[in-house]
Amino acid sequence: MSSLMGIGNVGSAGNIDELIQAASTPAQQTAAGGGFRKVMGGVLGAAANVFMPGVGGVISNLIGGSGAAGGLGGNMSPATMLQMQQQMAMEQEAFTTASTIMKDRHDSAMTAIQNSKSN
Amino acid sequence: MPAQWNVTPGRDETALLMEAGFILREARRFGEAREVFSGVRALQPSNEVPEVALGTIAFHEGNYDAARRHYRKALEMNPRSAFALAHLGETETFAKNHDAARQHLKKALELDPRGSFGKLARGLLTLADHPAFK
Repeated sequence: MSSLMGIGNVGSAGNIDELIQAASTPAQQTAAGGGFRKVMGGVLGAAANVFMPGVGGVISNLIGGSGAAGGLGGNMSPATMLQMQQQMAMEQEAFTTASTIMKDRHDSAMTAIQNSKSN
Repeated sequence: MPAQWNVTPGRDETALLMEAGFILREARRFGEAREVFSGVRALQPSNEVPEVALGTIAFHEGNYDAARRHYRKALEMNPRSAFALAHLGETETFAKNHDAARQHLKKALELDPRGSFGKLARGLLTLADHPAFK
């Protein structure tokens, strides 16, 4: 299950900080072998290959695991890959929103202080 | 020695105290932050900002009821406090009271459309509507 589920299920005591933590925590391993890690490994591996050919495979295996379900693609169907990609985009979006709110929260506190200074 | 000290800090001193309180809150030293904000509130009883700040500590602790009480008290002091409304909206968002949250956040946005309180309210409205958050 992805960390996105963590975001959706922030408990009653959850707030932005927990939300950020949930969004930034690597996805938990699943029975299928941790899809998020596999995809990340694949993406980083491909990127590394552009700069240093051959290194990509190592990175991909390192992150994604080198088992049968391991490397880029593995046993994943294109539909699963697409679903993962959408999920990652959604997580990224939630993370960006939460991080923006944390900054806005800080700015608003500073503004409130400045306002009470000038009143 | 006088029975009661007459302390009248300047605006800069008060601002410094408030900043120290927010730093302590961010460091999750809630007890000390509460002490600082309570002190500022005692020094400036008509200023709603320390009251809101106390509410944010309760919010960070996950105590939404206490946070609400502080924000409502702040709104009694200044009904047009976009700062208090934005934080009340934040608490209602995380308490999953989406209608109440929207109402407070929209009001904060109306009161401070271009300022940082409005920006915070806008961000929280976006978050409340995010499918991952519902």
